[in-house]
Amino acid sequence: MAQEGDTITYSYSDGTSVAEDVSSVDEITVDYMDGAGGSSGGSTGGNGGRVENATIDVSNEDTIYIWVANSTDSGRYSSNDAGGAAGASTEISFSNTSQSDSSDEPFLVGAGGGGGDYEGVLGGNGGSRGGNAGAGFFGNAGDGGGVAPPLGGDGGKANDSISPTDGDGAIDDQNRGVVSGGTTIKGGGSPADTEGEIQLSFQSVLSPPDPPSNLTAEVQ
Amino acid sequence: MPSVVYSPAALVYSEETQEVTDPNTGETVTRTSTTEHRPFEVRISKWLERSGVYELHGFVAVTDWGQQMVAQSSPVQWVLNNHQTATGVDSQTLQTWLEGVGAIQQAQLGPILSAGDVTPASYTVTADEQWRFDFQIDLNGPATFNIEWLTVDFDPARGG
Repeated sequence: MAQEGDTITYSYSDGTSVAEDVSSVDEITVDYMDGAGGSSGGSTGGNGGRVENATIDVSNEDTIYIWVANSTDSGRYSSNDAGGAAGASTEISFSNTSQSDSSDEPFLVGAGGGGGDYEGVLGGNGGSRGGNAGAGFFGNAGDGGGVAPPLGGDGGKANDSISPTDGDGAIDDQNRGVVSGGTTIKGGGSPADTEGEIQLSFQSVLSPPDPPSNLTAEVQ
Repeated sequence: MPSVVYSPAALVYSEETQEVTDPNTGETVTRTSTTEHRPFEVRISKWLERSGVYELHGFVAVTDWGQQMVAQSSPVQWVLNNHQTATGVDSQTLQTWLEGVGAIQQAQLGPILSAGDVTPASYTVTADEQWRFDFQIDLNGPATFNIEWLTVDFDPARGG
């Protein structure tokens, strides 16, 4: 259970989520949240995206779910492998259900970097939660990781000098009203071939309610 | 750059070949990739600092390949017949893997975990009480240590 004053850093956990009990705190500061870098093939993969200094109100939540991505396409949301694998996205959500459930959209995402091409033949994949993949020598582009909202980087481009694109971060409150502040940095996450990471600080900011001042005690 | 970086030992390999055809010209190229296999993996899922001590929470899991191996009627022979092995990996090593997979499946982690050169540190194997939290390693600062064919390099200052 996360406690007041804790700063916890979350690492890649084999593509599955880690649940954190937040019932004893009210607010979380996202110190940093990095998407994974894309895998290198014939060219170096792109950097992951970053979110930092966002605040999450968890006063009405008991649990958050954290996915930390790696650079070989394993995370909560990832694209298929054709050329160099795209970096997967790092995400925080209030729900642990499948990413195909639209009601389960994350509210913070560090998108994965684009994958490098495969020996100048196949284009790399688009970064997860990302945009378009680059075209390969045969026009065989890797699969894009793009789902709405478009948050990631483009894939690698085979047989030319254009490098895979970096992933971006994204803050999407999904109209929940729980996220405030924060900045996103394109390519500010993990470098190519490197796992993502999240660091969160937990606070209790709400004071207990004042007792009523007009109470009287009657002794019988 | 993450604060936890792994350097797994390469143990067993297999090669996979994939043909890719240009839909316009019919030209085909063959793509061959080498895949490394390990029977189980160790991960640090999270860490935190309390009272000057870094608590690293980790877990072990049997890989898909490990499950495939133990499902064979003759697992050791199946590995030797269908894979390339790194130097030093022999039938005795493979027998140890089988025992390790069995230990994980029975939540008996002690036999497969060793603290290696963790200094200074205390090392505790806990019961499998929480998802992704099988054991805890306490450190006073940055350290590099080994857990069963896996070198873990922990440096809190590297994160962020």
